[in-house]
Amino acid sequence: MEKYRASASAGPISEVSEEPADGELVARLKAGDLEALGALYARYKTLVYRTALAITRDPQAAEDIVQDCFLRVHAYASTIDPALPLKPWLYRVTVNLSYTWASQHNRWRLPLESLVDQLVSSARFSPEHVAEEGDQERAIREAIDRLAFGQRVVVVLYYLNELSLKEIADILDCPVGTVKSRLHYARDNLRRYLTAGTGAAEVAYEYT
Amino acid sequence: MNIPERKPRPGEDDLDWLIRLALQRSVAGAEPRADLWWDIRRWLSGGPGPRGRVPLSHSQTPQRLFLAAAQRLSTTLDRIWPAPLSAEQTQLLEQRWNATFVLLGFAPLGRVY
Repeated sequence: MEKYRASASAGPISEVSEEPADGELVARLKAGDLEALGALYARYKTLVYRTALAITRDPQAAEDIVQDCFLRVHAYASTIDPALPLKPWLYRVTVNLSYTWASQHNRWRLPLESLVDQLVSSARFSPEHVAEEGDQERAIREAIDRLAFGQRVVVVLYYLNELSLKEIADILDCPVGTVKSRLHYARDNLRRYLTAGTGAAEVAYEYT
Repeated sequence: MNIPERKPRPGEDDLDWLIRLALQRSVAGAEPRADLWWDIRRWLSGGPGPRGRVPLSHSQTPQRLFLAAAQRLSTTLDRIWPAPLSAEQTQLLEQRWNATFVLLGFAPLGRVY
């Protein structure tokens, strides 16, 4: 129970109104009040949408994930503890739905894109190219897209949502050491993509 | 690499700052479409979901699977048996049932003897 209490840290996209409290809205939702779900939606839609968008990079998929996420809030309202913050629960559902989407969407697309990436990566991610293009953000964004799903999720939750390693571990239901390891290898891979651009190590540490 | 602006946290290197900046800018201002909530409301009221899709959370709930199966069974029975049977239909059904019962019951005996 305590593990979620520390998870309400404010981040750049996580600022929410505190009135009425999440617990009160969940309790009203359990009683069948759809307006309470509407209030939760208004409060957290941006958080869920931007997190899903950062993971999937697909606006349509992100909207589908927002929809499914709040339908799950409705469907499983009876199992949600109103005494606990809702945000970690939403993060977990968002990550799970993103994983489902990625596993369905990337089954055929990723191998092809990976092949193309390997063919053009030295030119695309070389420092000269980045400097010439003057678009470091896009290069980094593309490098993040090349990370394995587990590493990408940790990078998004850590850098975008400003969550701590402990909070991410609670959301992903894994040890803190695993989160730290994924973040470490993700940074190594990103550095490698941005400097050498070989792209060969992205799956090597998927489950570390 | 040129490092834009400033480092927001002590102890972070240029890569940390660039990753944070790229991620935050990539979703800055992004919002779901305005009418998505009304699609969710409509779906919860029994209407279709956006673009006719079936949300994952609905398609996988055991209760909903059971209800969907019960509805299909009910529809099929309605089609086969739409109204109370008339006296003639009842009599015909009884005759056929009796004949079927006799055949099914005595056929194995016939095979034995």
